[in-house]
Amino acid sequence: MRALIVDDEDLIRTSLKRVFEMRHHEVFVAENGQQGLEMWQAHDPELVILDMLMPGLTGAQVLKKIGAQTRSKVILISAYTGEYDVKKASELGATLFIAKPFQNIFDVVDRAEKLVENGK
Amino acid sequence: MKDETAQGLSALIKGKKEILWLGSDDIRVTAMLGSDKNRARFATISQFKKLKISDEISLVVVVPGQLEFDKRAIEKLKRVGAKKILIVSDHAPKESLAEVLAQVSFAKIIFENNLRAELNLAIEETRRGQGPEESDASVPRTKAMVSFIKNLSAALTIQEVLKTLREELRNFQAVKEPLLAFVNAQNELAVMFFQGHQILERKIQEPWPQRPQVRLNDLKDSQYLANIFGRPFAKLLSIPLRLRYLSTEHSLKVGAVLFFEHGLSEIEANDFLQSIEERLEPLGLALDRLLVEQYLKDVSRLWERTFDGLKDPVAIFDADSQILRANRAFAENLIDVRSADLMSDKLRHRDHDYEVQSYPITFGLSARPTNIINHYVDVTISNRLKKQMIQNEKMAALGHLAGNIAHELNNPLTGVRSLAQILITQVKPGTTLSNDLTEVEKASERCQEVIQNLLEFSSGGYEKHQQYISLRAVVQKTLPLIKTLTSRFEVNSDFFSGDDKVFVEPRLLQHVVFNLIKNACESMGDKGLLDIRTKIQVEKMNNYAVLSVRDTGVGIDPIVQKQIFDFFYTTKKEGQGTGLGLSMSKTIVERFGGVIKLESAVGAGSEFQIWLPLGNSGELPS
Repeated sequence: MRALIVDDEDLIRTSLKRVFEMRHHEVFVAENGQQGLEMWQAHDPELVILDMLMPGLTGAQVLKKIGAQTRSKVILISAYTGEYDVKKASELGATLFIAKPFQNIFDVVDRAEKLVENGK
Repeated sequence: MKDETAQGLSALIKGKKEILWLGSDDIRVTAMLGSDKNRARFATISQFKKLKISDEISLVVVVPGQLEFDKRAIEKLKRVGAKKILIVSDHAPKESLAEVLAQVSFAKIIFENNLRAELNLAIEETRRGQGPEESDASVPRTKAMVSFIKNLSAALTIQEVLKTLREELRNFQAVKEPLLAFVNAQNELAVMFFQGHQILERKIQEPWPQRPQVRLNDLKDSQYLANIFGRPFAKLLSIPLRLRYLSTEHSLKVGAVLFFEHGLSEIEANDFLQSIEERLEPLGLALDRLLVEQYLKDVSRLWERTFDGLKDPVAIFDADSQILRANRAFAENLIDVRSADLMSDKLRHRDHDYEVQSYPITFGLSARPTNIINHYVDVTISNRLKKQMIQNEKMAALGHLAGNIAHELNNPLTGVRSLAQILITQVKPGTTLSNDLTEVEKASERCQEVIQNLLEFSSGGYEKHQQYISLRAVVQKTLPLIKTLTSRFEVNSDFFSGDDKVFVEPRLLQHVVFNLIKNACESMGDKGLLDIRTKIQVEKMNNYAVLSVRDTGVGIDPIVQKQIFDFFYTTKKEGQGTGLGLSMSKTIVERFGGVIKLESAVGAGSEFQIWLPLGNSGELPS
């Protein structure tokens, strides 16, 4: 699959990219909301992992701009667990919400793969 | 001729109450005095014998007709203080009368046509006090008056004054007991009256008629008393009293009134009135004295009650720092304090803190303060609240800080941990590199947990995770986690096996249990006895599940005990303690409606207890 990772934390982008590439997926990375939006429109990925709090455009703003035009599965990730949960994420147009910190990065990628599998 | 006489006497009669005209009947006197009779004081002989006269009659003119002027009449004349008796008669007295008159040197028989001259002479004589037997007549009266005044001044209450007055007027049988309407020391309108042998006081609403004159049988007075007592008052004598004491009822011109119910004729009433009028001044003085005394007593009692009612101790000192007076709070709380300490700015006694506020006061002529009033303001509670407020502020600041730090750290930490997890899969298991990477991964996990705890603790979002859980279960789940710490020590544990459910967030409570056990272990060094037990306790009608963690460690100094629950307070070496463990534990326990208690002695070890409200009722503990 083609996966887009949008997060302003370098280490998170790097580690997620590693695992996806280990599993032979094509990965695009963006380090802020604006860049993420552009790459989303350019590459039409099957999966987008989108951080909530970023400088410039936030995850929620990116989702709003993309609107209904996308068929990508979206996983929202955030450290602000108090404010965002699964319900809120689906209201925003995301398919899944995963709280940071991750307990295990392989689990995260497993869930992403399943999401895309099931959606087919 | 008789008319002339009447005219001529007019000036002598007018306003002279000390002259009493006695006659066998009206007709003779009227014939002698003409229209002036109405202004003279007149009585028939038989009336006179029955009359209760207690005022001064210095001159008596007897106008005999069929005279019944006998020894009894003469005795009575002596008693009322008559200094001269003129008997108008154109004839020599009868034998029986002559006999009587022989015993009285101040009686003189005169002819009717000499009346004016004799009367003038007698008035002069009595006025100069040259009455031949003056002392004889006035001594008993003076004595009676002195005794009356004595009794009044000995009276301790207004009731006694009224009794004295009644006693004094006992001879007037047609007069009932006095009734006094007055303003009492509490500044209330009141009546005082006899009921049998008792004297009662009753509050009234309306003031008495404000008229300064003496009234006889006045309708308004009768109505006034009838309204108060709910019965008719037929004949009344009303005597206004001029009192200096009027408390604060300034609107009253007449401060008090004496009422007498009576069955007196007009003449008898006059005699009675004369008798009472000369007693009014001592009576007024006595009432004034008693009212002022009562008022002062009340004021002083009020002052005392106020003084004693103050919650804080207050004491009055003289210039040598000796206590002159102290209130009840002082007697109860500070009586055993050294006098030097009493004069300082701050005072700590029996676990109470006082701030001392001093007010110097000056009495008399001295330029320097003669007394010092010390007010010991109990600031124990306010100090505690202040401390609590500072704690709360620290807590809020910590929460804010923790939230920010947690979010800033979580992102890179997630990256570190994730990357470590990836790298571990890429190196050969068992190698140094693999082991090191595992350490990195473990360390970052611990970091995440610390942050998570801090976040949960400071955000207050724990409520939705609160649940009923057995205290024993929480403790038993925690123990294996700190086995590495406790394994060095002998561990005694005893857990209450019944229902010990408390309403808590299990992970936060676990954090507290963990903290207490960890502290206990750290206080014991290499060996010791760790005692962990749970039980149910009842305090003030509430049930508590109690966890006790006791060690045989170094113990905690009393000074340290006071601060041990403060935020950022630590006795550990730099880098080993944050000063957050116990303060967070205390906050957590308090959030669950519990308390944390500490008992410790240096060298004898410490015991920490947490008391949590037992939640088995199914209701949420408040």
